[in-house]
Amino acid sequence: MADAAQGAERGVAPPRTGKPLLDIVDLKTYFHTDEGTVKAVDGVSYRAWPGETVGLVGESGCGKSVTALSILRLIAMPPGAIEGGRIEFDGEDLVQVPEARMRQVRGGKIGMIFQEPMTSLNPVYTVGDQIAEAVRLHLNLSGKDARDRSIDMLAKVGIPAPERRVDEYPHQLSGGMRQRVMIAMALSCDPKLLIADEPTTALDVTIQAQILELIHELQKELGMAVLMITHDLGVIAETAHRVVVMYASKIAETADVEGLFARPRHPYTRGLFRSIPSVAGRTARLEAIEGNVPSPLEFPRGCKFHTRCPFAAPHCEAHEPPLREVEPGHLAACWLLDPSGPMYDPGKVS
Amino acid sequence: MSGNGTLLSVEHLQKFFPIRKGVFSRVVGHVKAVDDVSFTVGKGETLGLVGESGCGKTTLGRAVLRLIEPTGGTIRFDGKDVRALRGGALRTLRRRMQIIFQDPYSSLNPRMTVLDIVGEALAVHGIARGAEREERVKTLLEKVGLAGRYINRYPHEFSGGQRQRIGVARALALNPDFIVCDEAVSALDVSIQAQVINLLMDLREEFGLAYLFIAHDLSVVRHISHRIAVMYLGEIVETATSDDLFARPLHPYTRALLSAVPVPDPTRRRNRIVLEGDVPSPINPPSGCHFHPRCRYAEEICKSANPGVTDAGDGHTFRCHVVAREYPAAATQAAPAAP
Repeated sequence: MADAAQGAERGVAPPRTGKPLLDIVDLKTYFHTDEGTVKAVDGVSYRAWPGETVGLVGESGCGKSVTALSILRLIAMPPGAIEGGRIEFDGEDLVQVPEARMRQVRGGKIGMIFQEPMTSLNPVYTVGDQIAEAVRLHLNLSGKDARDRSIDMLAKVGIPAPERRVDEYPHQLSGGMRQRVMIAMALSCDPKLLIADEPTTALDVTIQAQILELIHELQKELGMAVLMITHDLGVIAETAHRVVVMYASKIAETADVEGLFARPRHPYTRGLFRSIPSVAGRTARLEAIEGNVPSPLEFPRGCKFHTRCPFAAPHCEAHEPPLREVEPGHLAACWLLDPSGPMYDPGKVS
Repeated sequence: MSGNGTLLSVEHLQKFFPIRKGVFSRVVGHVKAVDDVSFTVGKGETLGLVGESGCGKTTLGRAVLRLIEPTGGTIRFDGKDVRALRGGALRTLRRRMQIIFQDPYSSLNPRMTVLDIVGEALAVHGIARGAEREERVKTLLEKVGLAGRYINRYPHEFSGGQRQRIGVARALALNPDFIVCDEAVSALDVSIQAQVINLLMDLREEFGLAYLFIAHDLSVVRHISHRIAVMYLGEIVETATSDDLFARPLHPYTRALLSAVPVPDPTRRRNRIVLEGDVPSPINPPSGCHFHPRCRYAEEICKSANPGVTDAGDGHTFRCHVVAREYPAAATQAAPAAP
């Protein structure tokens, strides 16, 4: 392979016309715990078209993973429940379909990769068995064919000597190799949507570069949509066409990647950008966002960011800001950016 | 370099793990996790240590603290030969050398409260007990951005980021001079990570702390470190000041590593050097230069001879046969003969 390949370039965004592959409308996923109701996802809407990478970025507990798990209906019910909204995927509402149908979708039309390749793989089965299991279930291949398919997939994700590796156990593989196995498994049934939840967080940068490159190559080849969930704005910048920034179970801001990075508008997004150390140059001190990420059990009232926001006013404490279009295709939920609200003052955040 | 004087000096450090096989547990080979590594950390200085999984950076960090026993080499901490210390003397020295671990999920005992986790060392070393200990733990928690009222909670009640803060508080409990930060901020949220980086830098300023900052996030390492050492397969392949390393990376591995960092700028297009494959096994490291199978500049000599250390000026050192030719005036210190 080319040694000096172009990096994980996201390429040109596919047109956002026609029917989206994934259309999440006002999704609400709550957990009813002894300590109270946790509104993990509270009225989130976004869409993804075939061939598109939607980056979902936010901090721990913001609900980005729960959104993804809701798509797959992988939340424990109870205590969890999808309380409202629709998840339109490829012609059906995944909130409504019966569990039997959901089992076909999971690992079939929707593949998934998780952060921890070690805990997502079963330690007592060979990697070949684990890929073959998915293939047998979803593609109805028999033993020998399923094994061949497993070897093909391992080769496709760049695992050397796949015919030998297929019989190895997860502990015999390095972290990068395990994540490749996860990708092989996720893609073994030609999914239309790949959900990648922090796929490279546990990996080193050169391996991360390989994995992002690999996901990008496979996306080009297979035309699937990718939902890239990460906390890493660098990964978002290099992979996503469209970005959804979440904070405390809601969307704070969403835009195409160029627009978001060139002109972030929400005070939270702006704070996030200022908290990352730059490889390009050193600053004396990072501008961290004050305070802690709020616990979902103790989300503030009104705008959930007001406890950490430098522009917070009494109106923000009392009322939740609506998601408003600030530029074509660029939405943000902040009272400073709502022309019909009492605090409209976009100059403060541009 | 900041501060004055050397706090930690490591020379020719080795850590080999024996591989045993068969009913008699015969030693059939060694994993050379750390092989002939030398570096210094000044008082109040932060040395960043970067490299891929399995390159030995974690082993190096632990061997320096003797949390695992080194196989060879010397470690001097504030003039004392760490490897010669035993029992009480070692324990006393350990007050001054702490570690923040990589995994906030496995590094905290799930059956202990935060008070006991952070305050254990205070009790063990007889520094504070009872109400005084509780007060100190509360202060420590607040220093790392957690509410003091959390002292009676258990690790599972915290998020990954909060757990890592508990780990930071635990390391700070004994007012150490030197902390090994093993991927200490990697698990934290971006906004929280910035706070903890600022905190670590403030503490460094306040107490003159020195850090061995092991991480894979190069932008974080650059931000916090005065100097950076790049490790590959048990060896340090390049060392330089942070700015110098980023301005002129010399070793081909460093170049690839720096080019692999995702940059939060979607308009930026650049040539990325995507390295093939993983780090090879340290059981049978490649002959000659350990990097040669993945190196695009590799020549015949790289396969047979391990390159020595070349000084490119300003304390910028590297180990590469090919790049060394660009520095004909520089003296290259020969690599030790292969065993």
